[in-house]
Order: sequence, then C-alpha cells, then structure tokens
Amino acid sequence: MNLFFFLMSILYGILKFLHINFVPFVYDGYPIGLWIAYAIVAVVEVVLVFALSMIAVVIIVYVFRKYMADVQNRIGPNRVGIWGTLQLIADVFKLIQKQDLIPSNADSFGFKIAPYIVFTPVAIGFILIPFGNVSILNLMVTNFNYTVLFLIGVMIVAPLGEIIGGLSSNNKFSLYGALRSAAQDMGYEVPMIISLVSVIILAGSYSADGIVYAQRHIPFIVPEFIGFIVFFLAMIAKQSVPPFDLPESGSELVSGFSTEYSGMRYGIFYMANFGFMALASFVIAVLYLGGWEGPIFPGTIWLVIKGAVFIMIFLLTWVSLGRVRVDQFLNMGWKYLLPLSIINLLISSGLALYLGGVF
Amino acid sequence: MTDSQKVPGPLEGLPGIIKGMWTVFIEGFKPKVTKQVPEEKLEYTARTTGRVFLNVETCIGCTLCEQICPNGTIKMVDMSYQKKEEFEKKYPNKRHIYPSVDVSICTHCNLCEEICPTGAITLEQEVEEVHFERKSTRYTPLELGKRENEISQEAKQ
Repeated sequence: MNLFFFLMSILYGILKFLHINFVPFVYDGYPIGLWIAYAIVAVVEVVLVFALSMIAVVIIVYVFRKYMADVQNRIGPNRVGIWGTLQLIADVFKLIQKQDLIPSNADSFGFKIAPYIVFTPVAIGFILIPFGNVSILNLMVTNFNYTVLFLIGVMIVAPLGEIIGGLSSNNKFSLYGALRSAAQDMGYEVPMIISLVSVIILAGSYSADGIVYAQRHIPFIVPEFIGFIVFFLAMIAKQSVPPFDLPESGSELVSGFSTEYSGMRYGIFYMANFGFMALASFVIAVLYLGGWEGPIFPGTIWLVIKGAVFIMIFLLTWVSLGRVRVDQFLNMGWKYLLPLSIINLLISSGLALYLGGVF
Repeated sequence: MTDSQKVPGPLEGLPGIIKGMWTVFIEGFKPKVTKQVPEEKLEYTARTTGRVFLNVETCIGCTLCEQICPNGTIKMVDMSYQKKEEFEKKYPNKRHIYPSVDVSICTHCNLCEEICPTGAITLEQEVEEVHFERKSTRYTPLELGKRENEISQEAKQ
C-alpha cells in the first residue's frame, strides 16, 4: 500500500459520501483523470510531512535544552507545560510579538529573503526521506530515481541564505560571519559529495530507497567507515553547530551572520538550524545505517531510533567541544577529509567491482 | 612558528576530544545543584547576614547604632513602650527612643550588631523581603522584632 493511494482512497470516500460522481480515466493503473484529486493529495502529503518536521524541531529543541541543562547540572525549562515541554511554543509566541526590525542601511530585500532561503531546503529535504519500507508501506512523498542527488543539491542551497543575510545586514560582524560561512562551505562540501558518490557507487542507485535496499544484508557503515566519518563531520559543519559553528561564533562575532536579525526572522534561522539537525540525522541513517531496515519493529520506528542516536551524538558534541579556528577547519577539510574521502571512493569502487552482488 | 606554538593535528588531539566528551557525558548523570525557589528553601551558610532584628526589651536607647551606621539606615524614633518588670530594672530606656531601620538601603555591614552594648540588635538569616511601596521599607522598632511572615501584609502595603 502506498501513502498516496491511502490518501486517495480517503478522498474518494469523501467524494462518494458527498454524492459527487466522477469517472476516472485509468491508464497504467493510475487514474489520470483526477488531476485535481492528485493535487489535493500532494498538498496534503507535503503539509503532513512539514508538520511532522516541525514537531521534530520542537522535540529536538526541548531535548537539547534539557540535555544541556543536565550536563551543566541545571534543571532547564520546567515552567511552561508539563516539565517545560511547551517552552518552545511560548518562545515562538514571544518572537512573533517582537518588533520587525531592519537596519536602516541594510539591503532590505536580501535581509528579508535570507531566512527563507535557509529554511526552505530543510522543508524540502524532509519530503525526500523514505520514512518506511517502500515495498510494503510507501511513506515517501516523492520517489524518483535521483532522490539523493536532489537532496544534496537542495541542502547545498542553505548556506547561500546565510551568506546573503550576512552580506545584506550592513554590519561588520555579519559580514565576517558570511565570509566564514563561505569559507566553511569550501572546506566540507567537496569531501561530503565525494563520500556520497562512493555510497552511490556501492549501492548502484541514485534513489534513497535503492540505497536502503542495497543495505538489506550489511549496512554501509561497515565497508565505508572512513566515508561515514567524513560525512558525519561534514554534516556537523553543515548545521554550523559547535565545534564547527564558524558562521555564528558567539564569542568572537556577536552572533555572526544573524547578528542583526531579531524577532521571528531570527526564529526562522533557529528553527532551520534544529530542523537541519533532524534532516541530517535521517540522511546519515538512510545512507550509512540502512534506513528503515531492521528486525521485529516496523521500519519507521527503526529510522526514528537511528536518527535519535545521531541527534544525541550531535548534541553531545555541541555541548562538549570548543570551536575550531577557521584555518584549522580548512586544514581539516582540504588536507585530511578530502584525501580520506578519495581513499574511501577507491575502496568502495573496488568493492562494487568485485563484490557487487553482495550489495 | 616555534615548538611551543605548534598546534596539534587532528589525530593528536583525538584522545583529548574523546576524554572531554566522556567527561561531559558523565556530568549529565550527576545531581542538579539548582534550587527551585520559592518551592524549595535555600540553605544559608553560617556567615549569611540578613535583616536587622531588634529585641525591644533589652534596648537602652544609647543611639550608638545610629552613630555607627554608615549610610543612615538606622534612625532613632520616639516610642512609648512599657517593658516587662525584669527588663525595666536591668535595661532602662529613659528617653523612650528606639532604632528604626530602612531595609531598602541597609548594607548588612554588621556594625550595629558589633557596637550594641546590650546585644539588642542582631542580624538574622532573613533575606526574603518583599515590599510593594517604598515607604513601607522603613521598619518600626516593634516590626523589627518580628519575622517577615509575622508582619501583617496591611502594614507592608
């Protein structure tokens, strides 16, 4: 069964209930005459996944604040709702009430559009994750043959928003933050894509469900452990959280590229940051830990478990490690991660050549 | 670049990184030090000094506390108060003047307690002082003898 057809059947039932008769044209198993129904169902699916991603953001922010409090022997948010679970909702309402402040000499258009450029890739990325076993229950909004390429292409857009926001703020700290963001992108994106290419070579497929299906016997973290490390570090750098929070650099630049942002514009940056943490953990789980593959439980639960493990590792590195310098990060990216990812590419090419039947 | 300035490479720093992350991980299971005031009461150390307390029975009206007070917190006020028999004979207050204290400017410097010849003035561990008007922060001599929760809310407002 497919999520698409599940929602289509619900819509069909509603139309029957309202005595709206229609004659669908069936071609190749698809009722193509119902393009309005298709459009409605597609919108419903996208809204559903977007709502789920926002719920994930709320949960991650709560867990982050509680975990950081635990590590620092504090209690954390505990006043709003039971155990402080509604703290982020209260924060969002506070941010919405704030004045919409734009610096007088800022580039208004760039300043306004930058948070959306950062946030949109996160929302798009969630519709490309296979949340369940594709052959049994297709919990995937869009499924085409080049999912992973499209996912990476979408994710690379996000730092562009940081650069635009920093450049158009007319503030020296924002400018430094934007330039550091650009430098950081140079450092990690090439190793990240090369390690992704080795996954694609090993799986023999560009699609997310094909990559998961290739890991049904052995997850890719075993043959490609080097690539996993490279991709993991790149994902930390992609979120720009400590130890790789060079674009923000709270102690050096005031708040980096988001110095001049306040109110809900800053809130969008904040939600995009945590939303990308969820997306990155799901992507790593799909690419290296076999996604929804696992015994006993349904596939969705396995994906959530694997993602939660990575979220906790991200949070642990966040609260425990100090920030690296720009030159240290670029040294790491070009001198260490790039050769490692190329070595990994050679290893996976050899495995695909001689053990291709296994995967 | 000299040897002392040499930055360790990624693999040299790896044991330190793992050790630091492990320390932080262990720290997450330790008990919390935050107290939820006002639901939980704070524990005060022995040296904590709070509001000035006055024993009206033993005050002899010598004005030494008013003289030693560095910022005019203590002002002597006239008050006719009939002491008990045993205190009237031993600690007579012939001028009928007693100290009053403005708790909003008191620095808890402890000088009045040290100079008091009869031990009438003490600084107790009473720190929760809530007032709704500025004029209510000056305590009369009789109010100085009571705890915060014994002083009626009408007197504060």
